[in-house]
Amino acid sequence: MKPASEELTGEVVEPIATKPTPRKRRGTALLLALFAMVVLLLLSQGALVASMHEFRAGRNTLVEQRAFAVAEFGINREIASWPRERNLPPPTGLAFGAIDSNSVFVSQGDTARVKVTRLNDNTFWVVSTGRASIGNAALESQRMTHMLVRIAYPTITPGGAIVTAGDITVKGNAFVTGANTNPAGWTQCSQIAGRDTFAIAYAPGVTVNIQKPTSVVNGTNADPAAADSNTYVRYGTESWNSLVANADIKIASGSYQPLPTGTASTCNYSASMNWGEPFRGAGTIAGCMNYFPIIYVDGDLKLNGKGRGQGVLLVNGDVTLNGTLDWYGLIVARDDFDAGNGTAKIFGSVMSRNADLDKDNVSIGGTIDLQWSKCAVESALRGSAVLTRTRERSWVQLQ
Amino acid sequence: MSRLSRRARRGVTLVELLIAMTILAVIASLVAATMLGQQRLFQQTYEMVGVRRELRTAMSLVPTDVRGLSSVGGDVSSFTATSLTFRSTIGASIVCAKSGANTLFLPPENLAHNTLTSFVTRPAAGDTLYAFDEGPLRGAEDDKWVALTINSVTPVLSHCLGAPFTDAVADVAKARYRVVVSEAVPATVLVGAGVRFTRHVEYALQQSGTTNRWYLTQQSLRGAGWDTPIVVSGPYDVPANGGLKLVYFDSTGVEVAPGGKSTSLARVDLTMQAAGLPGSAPGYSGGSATPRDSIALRIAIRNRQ
Repeated sequence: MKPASEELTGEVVEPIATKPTPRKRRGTALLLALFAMVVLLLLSQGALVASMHEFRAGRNTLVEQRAFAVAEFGINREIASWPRERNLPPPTGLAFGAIDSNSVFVSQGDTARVKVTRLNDNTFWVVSTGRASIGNAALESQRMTHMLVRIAYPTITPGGAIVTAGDITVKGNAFVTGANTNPAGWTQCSQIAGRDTFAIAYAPGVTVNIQKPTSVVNGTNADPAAADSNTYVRYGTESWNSLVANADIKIASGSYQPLPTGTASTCNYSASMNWGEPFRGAGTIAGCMNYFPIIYVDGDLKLNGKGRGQGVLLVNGDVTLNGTLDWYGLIVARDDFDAGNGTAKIFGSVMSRNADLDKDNVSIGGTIDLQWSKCAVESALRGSAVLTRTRERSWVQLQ
Repeated sequence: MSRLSRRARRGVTLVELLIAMTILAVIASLVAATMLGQQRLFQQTYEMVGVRRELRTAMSLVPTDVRGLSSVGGDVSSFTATSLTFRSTIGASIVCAKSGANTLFLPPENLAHNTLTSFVTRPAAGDTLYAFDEGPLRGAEDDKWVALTINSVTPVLSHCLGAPFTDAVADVAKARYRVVVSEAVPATVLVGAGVRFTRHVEYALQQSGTTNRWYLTQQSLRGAGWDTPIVVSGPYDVPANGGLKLVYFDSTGVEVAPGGKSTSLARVDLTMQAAGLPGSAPGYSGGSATPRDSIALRIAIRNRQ
């Protein structure tokens, strides 16, 4: 059967295709679009990778800076909270070469590990390793800083068991000796070399009145240094003012009875009448044996009752002993030292500046027993010393 | 002709062709523009990453060296707006033993329990060793650091075996260091004294002879002569445009002009402006420009008292 058009016209007309064949529909637009998209994607990817790299590098820098800051924090905190018993000679203090280690936790896993090594009598090596990770352990960074520190040791070298700028009287049952004596039971004394000195070092020209010659051992010495007011207030890099500023206990003028407070393992540092534990053995407050405070009394000091203590006692006035006192360490009085009625046992040294010259100066009476002890003075100076950076080159970044 | 051939009917007219070409041209230009934009973005990002990488390199190196110098100890030899010459601390350790008048021994670097020796770079002959000298007094009033010129640094196994500074078992096979110095070591430099190793370095902004661009360089003094400068990072802008600017201050915050008292320096303000490939960044008001980024650092000198 013929198509209808052929029947009408008699011509053979080939039907015009209304739809392209599948081959004709194959254009390049899709390919071009895909190609463009791939190229754009690659370029975008490149930019993205570069940006990610930049982000990571910035983040790493941040972590590194945090690690450094944490290391610095660790070292500064260690020095600010320095336990002063480390300063004492071994075995009481930190042994040479021994390592004391602490960890400081900051936040988000950032920590500093601080190691303190004692190098010799005066210097310590402090290394702080800071680690930071901003909460992601895979990002941890580490920085290590170091500081060489030393004891801010006041250079006080008493020329006798008593050093005085004014007149002195030794009477009654008093006993003063310049023979070097170690306090009983103080183990650190084996590491402190000491030698005998004079019983009394006095300013040339003052009156020395010793009623019984047997009450003074190792004699007296007219020492120009005893006349120099600087002897009583300047101690090398330290001074009266710097020691006062660093004093653990500051109290007003008055009458006091110091006694250690604490337990066998703890010491109550906040108690103003806790001046450390000089005794050893049963019945003592062992937790305070290594506590050598600097005590500053702003005015006259009277010691009544039965008291004891150790360290450095700075008195901006007179010291009067009325009761019973056991004191191991150093006493520096701006004015006079009067032990006329007291019963005292003192290991160390007493320095009396006698600033108020219109009074009797040093009067040692009663049943006082004053013994020169290098160990007691040295322990007091070391045990109370604060820490200071060594000059010029203390700080180094190790890593 | 009443009938067209099959072949003749399959063509396109000129108008159709023109329209198609126009459309294609428009599309192609759009695609090309987008691609060029993307490529430019990639290039800019890449350049900026490079610029910042260079800044970061400088940021990680210069402050570390400057922090550790001792201005009060006379470490700064010269300082200008675009250069700083000083003794850089390249190591720290302690004296674990002494021998004769001028030989010191140092513990190993990798101790089992501690870090007592650490080197940024191994000291060599001509470098300076500073040893902490406590002096005869117990207090700090006569403390000082004694400068000693290094003759040799040799690894040894023979000294500092065991307490107090090394572990007799864990550290026995580790190399210690024997340091021989030119001068006699004072008797008051004790066993346990801290030591520092220093070497003169200079950081400066210098122009490359080949590219004419400006780079941060580091130069070390070894023995009697200076090394060839090493490029640390860059390129940077020319000095006049702030490629590198160093400003110095004392501990009260007062600026110390170049040529002033170097021992009073307490702070160094460092500004650096790195510059990438010219023409690879969009200009502020059209066109293209050089990608730039900058950092500003305030570096507190730690050893200034």
